[in-house]
Amino acid sequence: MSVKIALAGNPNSGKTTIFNALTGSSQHVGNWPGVTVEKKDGRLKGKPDVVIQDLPGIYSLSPYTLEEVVTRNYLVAEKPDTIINIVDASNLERNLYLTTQLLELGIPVVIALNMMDIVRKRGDKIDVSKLQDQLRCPVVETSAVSGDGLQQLINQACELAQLGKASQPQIVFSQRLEKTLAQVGDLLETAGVLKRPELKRWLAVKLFERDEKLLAELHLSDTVRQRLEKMTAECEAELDDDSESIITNERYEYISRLLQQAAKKTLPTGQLSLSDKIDKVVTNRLLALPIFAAVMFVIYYVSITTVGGLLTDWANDGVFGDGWHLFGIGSGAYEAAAEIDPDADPAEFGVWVPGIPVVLENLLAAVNCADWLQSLVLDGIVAGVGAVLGFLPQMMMLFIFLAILEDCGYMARVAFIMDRIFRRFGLSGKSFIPMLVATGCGVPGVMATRTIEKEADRKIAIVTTTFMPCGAKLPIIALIAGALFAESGWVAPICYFIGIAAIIVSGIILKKMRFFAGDPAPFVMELPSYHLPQVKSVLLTMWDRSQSFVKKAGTIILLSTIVIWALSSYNFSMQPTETQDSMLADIGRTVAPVFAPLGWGDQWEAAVGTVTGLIAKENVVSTFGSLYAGLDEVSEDGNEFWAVVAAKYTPLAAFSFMLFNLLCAPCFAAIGAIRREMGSLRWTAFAVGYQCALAYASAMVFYQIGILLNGGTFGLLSAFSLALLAVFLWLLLRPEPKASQNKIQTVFES
Amino acid sequence: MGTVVVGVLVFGSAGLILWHMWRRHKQGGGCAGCGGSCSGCSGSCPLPQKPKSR
Repeated sequence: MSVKIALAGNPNSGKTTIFNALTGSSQHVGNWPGVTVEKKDGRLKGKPDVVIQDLPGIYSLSPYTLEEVVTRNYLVAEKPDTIINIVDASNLERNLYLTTQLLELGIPVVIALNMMDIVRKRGDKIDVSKLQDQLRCPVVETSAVSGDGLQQLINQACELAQLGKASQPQIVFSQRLEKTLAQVGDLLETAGVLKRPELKRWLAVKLFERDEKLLAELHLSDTVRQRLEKMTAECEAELDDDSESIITNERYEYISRLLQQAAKKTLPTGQLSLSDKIDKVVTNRLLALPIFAAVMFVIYYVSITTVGGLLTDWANDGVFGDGWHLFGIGSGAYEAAAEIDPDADPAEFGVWVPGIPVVLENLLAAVNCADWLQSLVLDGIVAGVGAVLGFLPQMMMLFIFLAILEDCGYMARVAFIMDRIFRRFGLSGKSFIPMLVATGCGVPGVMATRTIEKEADRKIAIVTTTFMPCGAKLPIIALIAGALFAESGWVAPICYFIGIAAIIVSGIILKKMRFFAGDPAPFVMELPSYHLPQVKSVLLTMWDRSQSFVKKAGTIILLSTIVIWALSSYNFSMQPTETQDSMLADIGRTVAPVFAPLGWGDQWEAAVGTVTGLIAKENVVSTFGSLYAGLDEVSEDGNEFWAVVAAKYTPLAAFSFMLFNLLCAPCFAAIGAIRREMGSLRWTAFAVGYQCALAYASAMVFYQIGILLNGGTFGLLSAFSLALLAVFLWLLLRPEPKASQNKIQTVFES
Repeated sequence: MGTVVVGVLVFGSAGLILWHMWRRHKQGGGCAGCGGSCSGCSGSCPLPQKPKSR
């Protein structure tokens, strides 16, 4: 017999971690709300007939947010056999609010008291048996991270599912309220709308709260509606409050009574915990932003410039270059000898491990492979894919640091800090959550905008989310930073801040347009306690992201390099030719003048890289790898690819190229996600158009003003750039127009 | 002979990758861009899935 078990609980209570542990899947877990946007199902490890449903995190069953609607619809319409209510034991009062509502659904509930390790560490005590008695449902202590109690939890859930016995609601409100709820329940029964008797209590509460969605779904007659309204109004008058507030207050009163008996806190009220003390500094109004900037600077500096840079040098020069000395033994002696005799044999100085291109070249020569195929494999695939994979060590370092920040709870604070800044500019702090997700990949980042209720705010977030440098854009940053600004540690971190600045600036500009105007949506977020990051969780996140990076290099990037090689090796008469006379060069030279005002219009390879970057952003680097690898300019350290890039671009042009590629339209996958989330082709075109226009304008203004500041002559393009800057400042600083109601729907009706 | 073997390996792999991406596209999972491998979604495309064609 198949058993359906639903996981429900507050955001950030550990649902997805428990889901992953029970099903063996590896859904992304985040230390902030909104990671699970849609419900996901999986089968229990070892028991395939038990289906586990991971539901989005919610605070209540009121249908205000998308997550609440998804969860409520599933629980009410699909009626799982058991609900596992995951409760953050370190924040019991808030979490039990949802529990009181779940218990009214007439579905068996097992409570998982999660994060008990934190409760014990604090010295707090929770009397599980008292909780069980009061709530009349099994309560199991768990720790999702260590896996403690999960077996007992699932056994209890399966047992309850087989019994099919629903928990009896024991949530007792005041006599006056109970009287009205009983009247409402009876009214529903007599009106014949109560198709499932077990939902009587829940429906009575929701109708008393004037739940619009439910009122519409039940198709109540006017007479029933009037009687309902009369009952509610009488109770409201007697209790001197509105119905929703009455229910909320009484639920919290009940929880308060319950906790007086079942929970004991060590820390006296008002005394600060360690987390609170850290937050006093980290989220301080004045210090928060400098601390955040310093943290991100250090992370990018270490990942891209120092430790990550050393590892990437090894990957580029060794694994995807000529080779390397095992454990570096003999490298120094060889380099000294090579200065005197360039033909010195590295194998004489230590154990020499040849690089992949060398091994493949020898292999292809040994099997008498045709020259054109050797060229395809070595100059096309290995040079292109190798150029991307060479950056893997830097990516892995960065992913580890970001995972640590996320896991310890700091990133949740960043969302809180950014909310304060965003709100000042009329933007919703909720927009920052998709941006945090987008540092991994733009596709889930765009999807995470679903948690923003206000359509105008959501559309702004969709348009701007992909400005964050995703994993795929990091090789572009690392290439430009490494090749042209090797001594400057600021280039890589500044890209992160350019992304955030582009989002804020775009938000301000768009918010001043009439169809985006209006107050920002409220942002409620619970800050998790700080804890030491779990090694397993950090490594899993890093592995997950790195794996996708490698997978992408082995699939879409590999295919692209074959196409780029073919286009760069043949002319339009399909005759083999030099790269400079190839089809790709002709196409590139046609497109390149568009980028002339940006400083890199004379490099057709850059134009081609920008266009192929639309397939996947890593393609920018792989295209450079394929097109520049065959050139003769070999640097002293053997890294010809970086040296060619450094020789072909001025620092100003290279930065302008990087700026354009950071901000312009994302890859096709992300554009597809934008299309699905916008639900309209015109809005998608608007988003892509805006991104490209901002990227072009920013890169042009940067380059042209940079030229002027470096003593260049004032010309037409300089004047145009200054005018563009003036328009940009005007868009940024002009007063806000009055909001126009629902204008957004009428402007671009899909 | 060497050319044939290497050619089959290179173009066979490319064909397999294309076939895999086409199959994922038919199943509604992502488009050619991510090839089902974007980070954050753990290999399974987070975009709404179409029912598998029979």
